[in-house]
Amino acid sequence: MPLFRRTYHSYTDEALMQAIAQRQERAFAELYERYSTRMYRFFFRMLQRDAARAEDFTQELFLKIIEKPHLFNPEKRFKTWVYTLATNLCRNEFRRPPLPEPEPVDIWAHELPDMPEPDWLETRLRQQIALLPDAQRQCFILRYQEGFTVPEIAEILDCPEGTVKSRLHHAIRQLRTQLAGTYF
Amino acid sequence: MLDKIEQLAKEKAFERLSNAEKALVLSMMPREEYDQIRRMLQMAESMDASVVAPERLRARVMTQFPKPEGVRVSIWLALGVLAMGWGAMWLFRPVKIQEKRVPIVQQKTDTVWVERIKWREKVVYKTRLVPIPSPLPEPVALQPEPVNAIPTAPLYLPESGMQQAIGTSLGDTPELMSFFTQGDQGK
Repeated sequence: MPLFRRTYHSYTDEALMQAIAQRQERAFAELYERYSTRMYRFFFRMLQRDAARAEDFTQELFLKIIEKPHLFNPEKRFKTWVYTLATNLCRNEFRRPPLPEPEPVDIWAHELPDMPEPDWLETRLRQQIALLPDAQRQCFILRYQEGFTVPEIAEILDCPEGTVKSRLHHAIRQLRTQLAGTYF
Repeated sequence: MLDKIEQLAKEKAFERLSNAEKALVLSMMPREEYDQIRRMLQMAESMDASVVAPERLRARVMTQFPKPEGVRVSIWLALGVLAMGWGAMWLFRPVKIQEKRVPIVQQKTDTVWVERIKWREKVVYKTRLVPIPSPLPEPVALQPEPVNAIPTAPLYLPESGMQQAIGTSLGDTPELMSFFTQGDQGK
């Protein structure tokens, strides 16, 4: 029994995973503190802002970490590994029978306000991101909302970098086309 | 090339681009389009910043972590319990009374009565041996009385009041008692 309780604040994510493999609960608690909100927000964005499903997916993700910590290769980055798990969960979700399609958003249904508020613009952008194809939306969220580089996204999605670049380019072009004339 | 421009739009405003970067951007798109992409990417980045994981999720997840077998007691917890136990024993220890001998000197003053006897009767007890006269043997013959015998003087006899038999006790003769005790009264 250690004389002093070990603090995991200074541990890297990879070292925390090794501690979790040794059933160190406090190491897992530290990892949860670092990644819970980030992963919840990622699922929230990926799952059309469905808070309940985002919560379930986040729980499932951390349960996988608890149950199979040995699957993590310590020589690789934990951050990309955990996002790989998360995107795989989302991919499985996408393969299920689709939920009722959201009603198409007609941004011209209402007249544009004279002085658009940030919330109004954000809502428009969010709606358009939701309408992107799954692969493009994944790349867009990982690149411009989660802050990954293109090589990292390629590693997460297990696809060539060129594919990632192409998806990003198409996503931006579609968003720009859809949002043209709405103060963007 | 487009990914390079997207990277620039994510990081810099058009005014802050170098001349080479401006030339690159303008070769691909007009400035308005660059600004539009920049605004869109900035907004996408700051979107959903207020979304946080619910607190109940943490409780649900942490309960799934396998607990170690047995009860692990921290050494500090054990020491703390021992210290509390020792403190409780010290607090509720039986009270020991220490005895100490304290000498106490008491001074008492009492009344002394001096008794002076002025007179008292003196009782003298005297004993006298009185021979018991043995019976005389039967004279064989009377001694012859001398012819020229001188007559013996008559015996002194006390006065009639003083006539007492020899051997009378003083208690029976107050006169005689007062005689003996007169000397003490004169002193």
